[in-house]
Amino acid sequence: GCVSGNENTTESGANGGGSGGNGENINFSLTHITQESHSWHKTAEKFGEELEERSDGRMSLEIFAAGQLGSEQDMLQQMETGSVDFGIITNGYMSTRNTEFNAWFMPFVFDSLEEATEARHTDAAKEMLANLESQGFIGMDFIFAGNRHILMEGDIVTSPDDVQGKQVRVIGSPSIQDFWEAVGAGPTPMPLPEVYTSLQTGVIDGIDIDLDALVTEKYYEIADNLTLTNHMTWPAVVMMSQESYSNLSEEDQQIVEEAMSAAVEWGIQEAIQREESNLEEVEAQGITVHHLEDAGAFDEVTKEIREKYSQESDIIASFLESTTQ
Amino acid sequence: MVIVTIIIFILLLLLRVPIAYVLGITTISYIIISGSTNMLITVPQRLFSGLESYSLLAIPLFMMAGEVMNKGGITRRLVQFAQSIVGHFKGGLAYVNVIANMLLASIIGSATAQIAMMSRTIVPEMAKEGYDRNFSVATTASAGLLGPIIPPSMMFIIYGVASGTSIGTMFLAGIMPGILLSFAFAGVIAYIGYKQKWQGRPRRKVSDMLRSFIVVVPALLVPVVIVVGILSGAFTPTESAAVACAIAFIVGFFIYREISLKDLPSIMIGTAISTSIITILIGMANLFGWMLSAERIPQALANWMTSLTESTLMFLLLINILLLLIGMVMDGIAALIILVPIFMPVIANFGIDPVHFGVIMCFNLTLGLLTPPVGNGLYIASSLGEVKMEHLVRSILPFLFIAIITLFILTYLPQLVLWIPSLLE
Amino acid sequence: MNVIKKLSDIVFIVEKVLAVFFGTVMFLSLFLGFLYRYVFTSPLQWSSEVAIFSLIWLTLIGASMGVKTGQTAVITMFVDRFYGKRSYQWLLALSFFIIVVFSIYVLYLCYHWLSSPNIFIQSSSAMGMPMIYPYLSIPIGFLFLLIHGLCKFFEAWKYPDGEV
Ligand code: NA
Ligand code: NA
Repeated sequence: GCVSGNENTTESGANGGGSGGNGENINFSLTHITQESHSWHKTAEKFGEELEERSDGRMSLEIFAAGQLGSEQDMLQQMETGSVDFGIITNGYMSTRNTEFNAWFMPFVFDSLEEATEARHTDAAKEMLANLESQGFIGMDFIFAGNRHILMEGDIVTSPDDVQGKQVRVIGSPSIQDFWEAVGAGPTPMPLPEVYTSLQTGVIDGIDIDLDALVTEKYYEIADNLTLTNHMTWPAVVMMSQESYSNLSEEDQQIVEEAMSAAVEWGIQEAIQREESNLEEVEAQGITVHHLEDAGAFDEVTKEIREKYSQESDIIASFLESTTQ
Repeated sequence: MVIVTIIIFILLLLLRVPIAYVLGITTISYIIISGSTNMLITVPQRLFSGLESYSLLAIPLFMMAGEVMNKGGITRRLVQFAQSIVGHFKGGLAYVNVIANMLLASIIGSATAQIAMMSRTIVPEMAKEGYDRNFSVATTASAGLLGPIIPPSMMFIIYGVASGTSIGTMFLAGIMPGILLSFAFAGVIAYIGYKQKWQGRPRRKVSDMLRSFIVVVPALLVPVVIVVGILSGAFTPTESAAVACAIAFIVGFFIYREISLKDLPSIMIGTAISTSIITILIGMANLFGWMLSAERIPQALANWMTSLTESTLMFLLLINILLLLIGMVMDGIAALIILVPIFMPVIANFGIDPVHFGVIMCFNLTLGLLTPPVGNGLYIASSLGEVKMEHLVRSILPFLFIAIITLFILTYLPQLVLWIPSLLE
Repeated sequence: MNVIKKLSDIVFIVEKVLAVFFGTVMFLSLFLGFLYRYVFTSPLQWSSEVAIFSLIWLTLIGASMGVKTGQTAVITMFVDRFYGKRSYQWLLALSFFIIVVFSIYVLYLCYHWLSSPNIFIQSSSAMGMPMIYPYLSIPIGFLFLLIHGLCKFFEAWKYPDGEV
């Protein structure tokens, strides 16, 4: 189990680090919020395989999916103390702790998911990860669930006018709310289990959503129009507990880092591919899909939000500079 | 290690420690015994996030609505209304009891609240008309079971929160089972009345019926607004609880003029205490569930149960028996909170609809209120209705029997549960 | 022990005030949330968050009040067998003693939890309110529970008929 397993982790990790020996078996734990069918879970599984392979079977990974170890704030706390080793934490939650993570939610920066994933190589993105050290985490990388689009019960969306005064379900994060307010819609935070019925009965008129969630939650059954806006991307931060990391020998640290890079690289390709297959699935379900070719109508809103957040954080300013040229 | 933890759990339960703290202490003991002391610091954080749920808000607000209705004279008028319609039948007051409970159930979400209210209002009336007191109290306690089945329902809200199922859908799914159970109880009353050769009473005058109807219209506004509001998308089930409070207050304050602003503080305090009995349990159960999932117990149980039988029906039968046994010794809401996270992977393995399963589970655990040795419904009814526990248990048997039959019908005919929710799609 | 009794009574009054306050805030924020979204079509961002945090405070306060007034979900069937005997008081006192020890331990855990520097960078997602304010409900709720628990523990000896 995890409880005893983690104890082994820290013990054997400490032994490994202390004696410099490499013979100990290490059983790591990883936790995330998504279901087992999600690409983040598959990435975690891939990470487990890579670990095993690269350590000649010495390292293994136990995954706690779907928030089994609690909400994201609980996960981070367990990583802080080293009782969980790895976490895939949504950028949405991270943005409530550190402003700079809002960079990923700046409107209309990326035209496609592929473009978004490239931005993790920017200096700004690396700085976001590096800053986690002060909280007791090793920021390892970013992975992606997809870009966010707009699913409406009624109209397609070509300009802010189309969502004026409409109730749109959003995920609670300061910059996402600011964006939707600037657009003129009513951003409505709502727990996931209530979204389906609420869209059906008309408590809300639409959802700000990624395609993976759209397909998993079967919203195509009740809504008619999907506008592919790519108005923001939806990443997660891959992190490791510093406590666990520092208990590893240098060789083991390297194995872990390399295994994670390989897994994330794989996971990103997987996510890009899913973005396409999910779109096909949505179209097959009979939803009208509209591509927003020109985000020009949103320029005013885009400018307002980007300026506001650039002022709040130099990292966001630098992120926008390097991604929007 | 697991054995020691189980012993601690049972020992604490027997020692009269509140169940909520039993869950917390067991979890902490387990972490200490297993030696992973670095997990301990997460305990308060985990308790907090177990409570950080929008859907839980419906619990205090529906409780508040119930208290406001009681103080505002709404409850009493519902009973009078039911009396004017079916009061003249053979065993009229017994039917009144069931119908008034149906009406109440469409506003209140908890069986114990309903049993407490009705034991005080209708049992004396039935006694006055010469009904056997044990039978009167038994009818009241049984009809109280409609509370958590006919929407809104505390049990359904908790199931929805714990399983990630839509509360709105759960509410719709409870309508048919509630009606079915009401008819089943009416059947029991008719049978007993036939055997004991009850006499009918003179029919009320139409003008009387009309008067009590007009008086009750504002009271009926509460359930109507809830149902119409949810279906038309005016509000979510959680918000509907707040709206219900507001309407109940307006009706009780402006129309019936029985509630005053001075009553509000005591209503708030009462609500806080009765809410936290449930919500602190939910928070602590979240800790407990954390320990279970860290140990992968739900998955192990899921695999074991799947290996036990491949038939969905057989599985549901086993679950029903298990839950009836658990309901005998444990409070239904506590059992629900602890068991739902354990069962979710199991029912996924069997491909059972989570809404159907939720209704069965809540229905089943509700029956536990009326089964000894631990049956809060029995205690409340026997003390407020002033009858001996042993006599009450005997009188309640036919009702319990028919309720179990209804449960099995619902188990094997999922369409009875899922039909109304499917209309919306 | 008279001091404890007095303290527990004072705490209970404070709790009543807090319960009325958070109950009112919870109701109003949810109701206004509905009103602003449905009637004025401009949803309030803070309404559900305020309501949820109020409920958490209400829960911790109410749970402690429940121990004071004897309204908790407990299984009494075993202990009740000793009703009227001397051992009943022992068992009753023991159950309150367990609550006291538990609340002291949770307070100790809270001290470690809330003294982590990472607590102060956490803010709520809709309002950006520092999370320390809702988090404080836990130590305060358990402090109140500890006081009531102690009072009940001493009282358990006083009643020969086991009434508490
Ligand atoms: Na109900
Ligand atoms: Na029972």
